[in-house]
Amino acid sequence: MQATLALEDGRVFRGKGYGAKGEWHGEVVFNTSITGYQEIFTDPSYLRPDCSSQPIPEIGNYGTNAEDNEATRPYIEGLIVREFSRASSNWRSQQVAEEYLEQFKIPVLAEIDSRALVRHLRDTG
Amino acid sequence: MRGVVSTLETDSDKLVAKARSIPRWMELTSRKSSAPRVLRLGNWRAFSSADEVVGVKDEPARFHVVAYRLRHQAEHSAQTTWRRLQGHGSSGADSGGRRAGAEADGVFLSNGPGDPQPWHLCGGQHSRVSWGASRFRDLPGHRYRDCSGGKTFKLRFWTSWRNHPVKQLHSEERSRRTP
Repeated sequence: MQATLALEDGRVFRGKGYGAKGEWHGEVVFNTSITGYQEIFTDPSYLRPDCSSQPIPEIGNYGTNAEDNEATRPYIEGLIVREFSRASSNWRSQQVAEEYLEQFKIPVLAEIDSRALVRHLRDTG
Repeated sequence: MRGVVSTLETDSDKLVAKARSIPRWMELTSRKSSAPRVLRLGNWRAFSSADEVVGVKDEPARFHVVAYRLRHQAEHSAQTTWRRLQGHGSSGADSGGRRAGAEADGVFLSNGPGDPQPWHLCGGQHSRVSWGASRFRDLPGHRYRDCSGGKTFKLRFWTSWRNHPVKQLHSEERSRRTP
């Protein structure tokens, strides 16, 4: 599934879509954490319409579980990553990250140059 | 920066136009007559209810953020700060802060930087104290300070058990707002 991110300044990133299908609007922010993606999904400080961008590869590879939630539901509107793992491998994993995000209708945009996106956001907003 | 993620539309011009049409995240509006002042968060959510608004004025509205962890006793502490900023009381606020407080039309109550829980999750009760100003609650205070032009950033260490500390860039003042 093809997916596109368009920013208000005209920059466009094209990549692969996972999770829910559709169109989502919001403010694009980034987080450079190497791990803890589930905590980022469910952090209520993302309560405005945010699309969180993570440049670290292999987001999703340890799945999700009920104990690591920061809140009862995810607060991001979308997820933008370099590489998204559709398989999970961890003894604590209860649900694959893609299923978890799809359950809450959160789209994933992957396989874009997320480092370029982060630098762009850092410099221009 | 505002943006659109789409798996349906591939025309980049249309998507960019949509991104530009997204309302900015924070927009403070006031409707005339008896309607409450509304704080809009983009097109997603508005915090306001009639019982929280004491007085309604025409725009522009100026608000002052009082960032405290809003638990039972802390609201009294926050009110003390607010009254001090308005010129009541003797010490604690610098002249700039006091001027800002005096000019403000209302107050944002925040549960503090780094702790952006909704009001009902942080044990908030209805206020028993009179603020004498329009109040909005349920706020991630650092975000509002940032949006309103305040230059603060999170410090990397020195968290302890309290709220994450912030530093004001102009004064180098470090503060942990949790009493």
